[in-house]
Amino acid sequence: MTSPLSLSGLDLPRRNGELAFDAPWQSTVFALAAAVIEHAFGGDREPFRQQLIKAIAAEPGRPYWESWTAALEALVPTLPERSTS
Amino acid sequence: MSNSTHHPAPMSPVEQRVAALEALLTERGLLPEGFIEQITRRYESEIGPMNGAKVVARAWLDPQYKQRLLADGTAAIAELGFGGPEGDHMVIVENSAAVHNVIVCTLCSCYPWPVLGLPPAWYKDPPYRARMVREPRALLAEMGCPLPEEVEIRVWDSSAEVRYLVLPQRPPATEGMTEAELAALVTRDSMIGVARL
Amino acid sequence: MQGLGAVDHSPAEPVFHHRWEAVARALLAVVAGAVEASGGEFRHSIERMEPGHYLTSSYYEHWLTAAATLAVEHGLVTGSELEARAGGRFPLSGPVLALPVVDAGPDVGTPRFGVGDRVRVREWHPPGHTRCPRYVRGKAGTVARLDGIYSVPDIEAHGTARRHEPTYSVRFDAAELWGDRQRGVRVHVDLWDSYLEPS
Repeated sequence: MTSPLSLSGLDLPRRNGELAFDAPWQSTVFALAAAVIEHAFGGDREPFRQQLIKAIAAEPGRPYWESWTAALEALVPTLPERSTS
Repeated sequence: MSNSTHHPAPMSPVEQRVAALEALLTERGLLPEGFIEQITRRYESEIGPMNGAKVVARAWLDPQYKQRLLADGTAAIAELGFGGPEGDHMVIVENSAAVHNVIVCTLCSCYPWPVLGLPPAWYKDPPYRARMVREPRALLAEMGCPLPEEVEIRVWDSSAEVRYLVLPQRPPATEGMTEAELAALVTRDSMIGVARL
Repeated sequence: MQGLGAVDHSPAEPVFHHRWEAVARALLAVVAGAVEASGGEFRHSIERMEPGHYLTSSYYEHWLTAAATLAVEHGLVTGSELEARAGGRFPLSGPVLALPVVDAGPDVGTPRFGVGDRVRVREWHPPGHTRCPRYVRGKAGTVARLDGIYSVPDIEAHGTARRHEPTYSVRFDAAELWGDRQRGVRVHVDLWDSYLEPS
């Protein structure tokens, strides 16, 4: 996979050997899950992990980051309706 | 939302779903300003296998550090400043001439983020996840790591809380190298266990 | 999507835009009172919404769906009556999934097994979430390492009950695991205490 991640058009330094994400939506959905884990579940990774395992098992052939997206969609209805401001 | 001005092409279905999630979570107050950019930057360039390489090089040079690393991986990687999500319960497994270790997550994609960053696509895909527990010697050979039958293969399925890192053997003819020079030899694939150095 | 901020809308806003929302709120109060639904049951009825429906509908539609779901589940009205009245589809939340965990049991502080013990993974296929990989169920192995005490995912998946148990890395001989002739391969799987029984 050689397509550069186009964040402001710069080629990111590849200190870790290869790009972690092929497209901006992947890094976005990764970060969205991190936000939910940190801010809605106090750092508990278990609820998201369970949805991810379920999403992967439900459609094993589905591309990984799409399963990740499906997992986050399934998790969202379990969040409190009101934001804690 | 990032990049909409750089991408005049219509969004794919999954991009639309991600955009909807971002809008929803923003409304819920769960997405602080700049959070996405911060996480992206962290996992694009700050966290990656160069961290694990430093751990390995230190272990090669310092026998006491290696002992601590094998006894309590979490504490030992923290000595070098590494830790965080998916790295709270680290177990480091050591290769030798007689033993070769390799890690997998058959259920999803568990991987030791603080020392290796995010996993490569093949690690997350069904063939690797299914075959590494089923026929590791054959799969390793296919991936460019043939091992004779005399070498014991230990597969570690990260099915609970522990996250694994393979400590590869130090290659020959590396005497006198500095820690930085040694770290430069350590590949990500050798720390997953699909390659030897 | 609609803003999900304040619940109380100003009465000065356009009547058309908000009347059904006000009706949804009132309806929920009536239904919840009539069926004596707890806060948890109400929350869960929203959590059971099909994710696509949940994400593409507003806060008040969530309440409307919750009210309708509870009404149907408690026998006040049928789904087809709702659809007849609405003149079209009236999606409700999905069914309550998996059996409720009535008693998670006490935390297990003392490991039942030690390094070197022969163990067998229970042959069970739980309907809900589990972190016991299928390929080791019913198989015998040896405890290779004792790890920490963690919340059992199978229990955690069902609600607020929690049980904490020791975890182990259990080593399986690959030839025994798969019934083939591969040699010199050991597969280690990390398992919770209750997944195991003595072999």
